Amino acid sequence: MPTAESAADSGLRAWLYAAGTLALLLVALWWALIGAPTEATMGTIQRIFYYHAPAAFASWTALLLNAGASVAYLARRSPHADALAVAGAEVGLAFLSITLVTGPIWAHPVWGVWWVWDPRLTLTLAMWVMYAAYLILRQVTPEGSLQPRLAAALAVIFAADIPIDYMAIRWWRGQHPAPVLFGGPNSGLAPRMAIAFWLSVAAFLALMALLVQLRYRQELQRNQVRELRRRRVLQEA
Amino acid sequence: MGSVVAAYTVAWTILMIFVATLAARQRRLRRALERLQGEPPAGAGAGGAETHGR
Repeated sequence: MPTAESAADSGLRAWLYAAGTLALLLVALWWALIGAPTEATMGTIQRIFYYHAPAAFASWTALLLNAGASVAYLARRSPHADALAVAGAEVGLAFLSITLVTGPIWAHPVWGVWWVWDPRLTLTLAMWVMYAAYLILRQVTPEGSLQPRLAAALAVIFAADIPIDYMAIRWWRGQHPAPVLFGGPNSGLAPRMAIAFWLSVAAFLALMALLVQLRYRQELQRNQVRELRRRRVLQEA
Repeated sequence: MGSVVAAYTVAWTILMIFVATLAARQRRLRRALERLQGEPPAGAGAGGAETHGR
């Protein structure tokens, strides 16, 4: 059992972490909008990249967490692993939504169209649909031992889309720009652009970790409420 | 510049909606936990009036 002091310490740590994340997000926002130089070809519109790509990184990380937790659940049937899987999927879907919305806002003035069925775009949209279906399935199936098992099995299958989505712009030629990072000798960013980009990546990953942790604790509390209700029903019967 | 503002606004809006949903769910859960841990089950304890045919 945690003591009152350790609970207060943990609460203080959580608040400090949240405050640090908010500060990092604000610093990253300043760098993205003001600190980074304007790109020569695209102009100001290129600044969308500082949110679009880090949001994709954060979503992939959260969804990989969902896959890892699902494998752990299938191996050990731990409710903690199941709670982490739900948290990873929900947070991953939120960041994936940011990627999917900011992409077309950048594409419209640059390509002249909001959307093309390019491999990267199609795979990202498919990923959003899969994880939305995963979360809906968890809501609509009756609670019981089969629901988390089915969800975990689906999560492991859906996770195959993550590395394919990452590699899509390396394997196939499409409309999506070539990789700016880890894309070979012609890729890379100017030093001040790199600062803005990596600050945004760090801020989004820190926020992702914070939201996953909060949602994970919430899911454990939900299990606790369910268990208390079940006991209450048994006592009243 | 309009597209940049739109993109950043949408990103922050999605995050704010997520955080607001999380907070609302947390309030509901806390209330449910307090109710379940605070009240004795119906029919249990000395005050179980409904079991005495009133």
